Order: sequence, then C-alpha cells, then structure tokens
Amino acid sequence: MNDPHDRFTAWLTAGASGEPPRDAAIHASACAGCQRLVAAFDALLAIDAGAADVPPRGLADPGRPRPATMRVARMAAGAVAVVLVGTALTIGIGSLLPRTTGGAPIGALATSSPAGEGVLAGAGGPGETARPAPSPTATASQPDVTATPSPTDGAASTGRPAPVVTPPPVFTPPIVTPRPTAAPQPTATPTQPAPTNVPATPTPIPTPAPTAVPTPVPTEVPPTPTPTPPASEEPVGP
Amino acid sequence: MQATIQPDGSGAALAPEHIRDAFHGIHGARLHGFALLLTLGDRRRAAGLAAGALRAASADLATLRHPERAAAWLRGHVVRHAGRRAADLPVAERIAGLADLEVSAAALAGLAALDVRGRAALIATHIERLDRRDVATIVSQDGERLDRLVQRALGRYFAGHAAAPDDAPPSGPIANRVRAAAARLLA
Repeated sequence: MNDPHDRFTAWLTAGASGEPPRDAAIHASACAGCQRLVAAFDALLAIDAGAADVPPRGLADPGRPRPATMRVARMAAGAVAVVLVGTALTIGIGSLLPRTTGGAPIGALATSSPAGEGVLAGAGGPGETARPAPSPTATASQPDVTATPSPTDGAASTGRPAPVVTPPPVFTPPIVTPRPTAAPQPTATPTQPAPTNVPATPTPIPTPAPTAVPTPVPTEVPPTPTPTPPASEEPVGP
Repeated sequence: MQATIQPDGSGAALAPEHIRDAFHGIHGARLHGFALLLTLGDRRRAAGLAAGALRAASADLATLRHPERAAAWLRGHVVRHAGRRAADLPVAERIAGLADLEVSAAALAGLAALDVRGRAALIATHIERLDRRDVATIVSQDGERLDRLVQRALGRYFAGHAAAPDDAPPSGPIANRVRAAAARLLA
C-alpha cells in the first residue's frame, strides 16, 4: 500500500483516528476523490441523533408483526406442511400396497395350508373334510375297487360292495373361502391337480358304504331237499 | 401496585411510574433519533420502534440501571425489531423526517446503501460515538467480526455517498484536520 490515495482511504475507513499519514494528507488536500471521502465522513459526523424529539408513549410498532404472531404463523405453516407430506406419503404407499401385499399373503396362505396336501398346497386350504378319511371300509374294499371299476354308483346296482369311482379333480374342489385380495394367478397354478398324489384309480367316497354290512351271496342258498327214494327200497317188480 | 424501587444512594422510594418517566426522558430522544436513522427517516416506524423498546425496558427496569448499558440494550431491541427491508417512502419524505438531525441527501444515500446491521453499527460507532462494548451489544457481534462490520459499513457508506451529487466543499472536523496536517508539512 504505497499509494498515498490508498493509504488515505485506509486511514479514513479505519475511523480517521489520530493524524493522517503525512504524504497521504498532502495528497488528499489536492485529490478530488479524497475530498469526496472527507466530505462524506464529515456529513456522517454532522448528524445529531440527539436532535430528535421524544417518541409518543403507547405507540405500537405498526409495521412488523409481533414475534408471537410470527411464531403462530410459522407453526401453522409447519403443521400444514406436515399434513401435506403425510397425505402424499399415504397416497403413495396406498398405491403400492396392492402389489406388495397381493403376493405376500397368498404365499403365507400357501404355507399355512395343511401339511400333506401336496396338490392343494397354496390353494388356500381346501379344508379337512375334503380329504379322504381313512375309513375301514375303504381299506377293506381296496382290492375290489381295482377289480371292478365302475363309474356309476355300483353299490346301488349290484349287491357287492362296490365303491364309487369319481375323477379326482372333480371331486376335490378346494373350498376356497372368498377373499377380496385373492389374485387369480396363485389359485390357477397350484390347483392343477397332479394325478400322482391322488391315485388315478377311483377314489372311494367316504360315505357310509353298504360294504359295512355283508350282503348275502345268492349262491349260498341252502339246497332244497328233493325226495329221492332210497336205494334200499327198490320197488319190487313183478 | 405500591411496589417501590430503591435507587442506589438516594434512600428515597420512587414509584415505578416515576422511574419509567425518568427513563423515558433520558433515553427517549436519542433512541428516537437512532431509530429514525436506522429506518432512513420513516417517522411512523421509528416512533413505533422506539416506543416499543422503551416499553419493553420498562418491564425490566431493575436490570437496566446503568445508563450506558440501557442505551445499548434499547438500541439492540430496536435493531432486532426493525426488520430487514425499509418501507417504500419517497426520498423527500425521508429527508423531511431526518431534517431535525441534519442529515443531507448524500448522507441519506450513503446510509441507504447499508443493511440494517451495518447501518446500526455505523450509527452507533461514528454518529453516536458509543463505546465498543455497546456497539457489540447493539449488533450482537464483537471482536474482529465487529471491526470488519464497521469498516465494511463505512466503505459502503462512502460508495453510496459518492453516488449522490454533492458539490459542497468539505467542511467538518475531518476536512479541517487534513488541511491542517497538509499545511504543517508544506510550511
């Protein structure tokens, strides 16, 4: 800072305390720019703040809202912002919910289906009644079923204990409880019954089959006695 | 309310109303002048700010017994409540509001080039010549930050003042000191 103009400006800006540097004072006495700065400083020092009158009492600040009002306004704005953000989040999450929860509960249902239901697993659980109950009649008539498969109700037509043969997919309809969120895709894939689990052979219906009561075979009719003359009583011929 | 305050050394009991009157009389005029300069001649706003500060100080007079500290506290209250933007007023109305304080149009232009905090620092330092601690209380800054604030404010004031036409020759204490110093060196 060798320039006397800069040094004079620095002295003035620092508060003009003490005497100015000598060469700077000589320069400033002839410099128009420095004279303007001096005039500005003198105009500042000429201001008399104490010349004002006393303000009237009981005058409220008219131009600026009070801090309490500002605080309330800020709190209200914050609450509105929170509500808006919450609404937006709710809408956004709500639009995503059907995708995420549409698969998960069905998977959970599939896992919660009764164990041992290979075919019906994942179909929502057909219920315990749909399973063929191991009745003693069914096991007892097992050989007869394989011997004479009859699509119709054989028990009524014949006297033999003939179990009724029905196609498995038709007779094992999973009783799916109506669920509002049940998507069609999980129900379509697992309900395709594989004939491997359920034997292709006719499934005995667990009804009170007439096989429980043994039907008398007609061949077991007792022989009727025929009057035959005994050999010892040969007619005496002539 | 009959509560009284015992001023130091007086031994007399003064009613709070009397103390408030005295406080208002001591600080009212200069505080109003500070507010007028800070608001650039906005009379209505300056009167409201000064009255608000005095009213707030009246609620806690016991802690504002020291006159200088009270002056800084009052001005700090005005600065905190002054806002950041000046109201839209015609320049003529502003100059009329500052006529009693002998503020020229160029000085008003220089003050208008500052923000509220810089203007408050400049007024308290160079116009009111308050103590440095009081200036720190008014603008809520101290140390080198306060020094930089005052210097920066003065530089901006110079720039604003130079932008306003003022052909009058410099006349004042600074001009006299510079002339005297140059005369001594040239003699």
